[in-house]
Amino acid sequence: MKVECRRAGGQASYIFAIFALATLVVAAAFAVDITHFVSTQHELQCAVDAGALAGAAHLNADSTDQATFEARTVTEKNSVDGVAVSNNAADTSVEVIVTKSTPEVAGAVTVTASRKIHCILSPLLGRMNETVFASATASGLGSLTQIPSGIAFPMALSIDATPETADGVIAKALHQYKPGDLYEVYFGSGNNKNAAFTSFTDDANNNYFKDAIDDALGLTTSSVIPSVNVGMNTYLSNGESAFNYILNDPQYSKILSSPCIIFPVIEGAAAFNQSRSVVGFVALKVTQISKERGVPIIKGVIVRPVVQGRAEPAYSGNYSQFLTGIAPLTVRLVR
Amino acid sequence: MVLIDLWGNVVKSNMKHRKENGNGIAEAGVAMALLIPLFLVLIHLTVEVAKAYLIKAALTAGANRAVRQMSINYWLDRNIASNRSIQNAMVYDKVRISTMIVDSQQFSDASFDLSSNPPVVSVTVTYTGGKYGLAPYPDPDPLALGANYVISATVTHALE
Repeated sequence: MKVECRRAGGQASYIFAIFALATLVVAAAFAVDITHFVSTQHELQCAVDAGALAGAAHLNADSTDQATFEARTVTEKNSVDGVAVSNNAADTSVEVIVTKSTPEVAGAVTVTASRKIHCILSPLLGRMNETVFASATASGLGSLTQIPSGIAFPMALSIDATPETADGVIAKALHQYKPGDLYEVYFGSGNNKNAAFTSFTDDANNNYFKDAIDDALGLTTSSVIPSVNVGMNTYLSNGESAFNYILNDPQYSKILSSPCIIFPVIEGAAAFNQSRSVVGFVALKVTQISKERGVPIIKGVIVRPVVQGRAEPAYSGNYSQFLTGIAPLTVRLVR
Repeated sequence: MVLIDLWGNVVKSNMKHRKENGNGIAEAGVAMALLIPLFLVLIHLTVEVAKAYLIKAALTAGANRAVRQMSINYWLDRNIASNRSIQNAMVYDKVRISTMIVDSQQFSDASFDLSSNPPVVSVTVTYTGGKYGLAPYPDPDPLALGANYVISATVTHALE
């Protein structure tokens, strides 16, 4: 009887200790695996965010191939638990969906990724794997107020000038147009103009304009066009010789084949040898370059592409509502 | 020794039970003395491993913010690709996460790969316990891992 009592007392304490230890192991398993899950989810989210932003910068292209390629490539350059986020990696899935832009609606790039992660301590409870998901969508959001270097076409459009057309008709001012409308840019040497070549920061010669057009069209690696932002002063010049390049040189047919050309917008007359403040940006899908009755003309449809750049601060001033509704959109994460 | 209670019952056997109970408590005490350190080690390991993952998550968030800003600022000043002072002023000095990212020196020089398609930039941020005023990690550090134990996160973005 005495021995039985002793055994009973010892066993109870052992059972309690084992139960406590088991409880602690379970709690530890969950704590470690949950924090591992959270950390992995963060890494995967960063990877898909980077991929979506990279792809969205190419939403204006004719094909969705480049957006898809860049979204996938940049996602792959990121890793989760030290392994690349790629379809080539084990237990990993990456899907890229690109919705094309239209003149009225910005497209979107969605990158979705999943990774099966091996639990560290939960296998003690029979739970071997967990699957982590992340998704990001990037699109155009926010009207462009600052554009990277090497992008803006070296020609400023007046927002309120009303030039006389080749047919002798007074054209509407730019602020009376909307996306999808056909707009005509006149930049003769007389008063019948609503635009002028611009060297941005200073006076320049025709060689500069040729280099700047090359830069804007991506025909050169040398960078001559600065980053342009709303409020910046831009210098206007007579670039008629530069116009002759784009009219006659076959390499400048890229102006017509580009999805869009982005022009800085100024307020007031496009007077030569004067500075004007940039008030915004407009993008044209150029459809025709010609010279009619001696007046150089560029015709194009106003589009709202998704481009790289900043949308802060928001537009203010006389034409803020018009510019907010017509300026290209910047690449942002929307979800 | 034989004791008799007020009702004339012999109480000797009760004392034996008390002794037996005492033995049981002593055994439980020994068992706990062995298990409690094990519990404490397990709790410590759990807390430290969980903390490592949380630090990693915070570093990933910080690296993500930094690399995005690096990417955006590249076209404002292309010298940012090769000038650490510009990287600090335009990006790193502005990225702080309380108790996790407290000093720009936690960021390594941004790595710009302009020849890749698309051109990309990578930013790595590290956490070394005890450096730059960061809390020691692991803490306590019985294995003296100290400065040799570094947690890092790297994020890559396309240049904008």
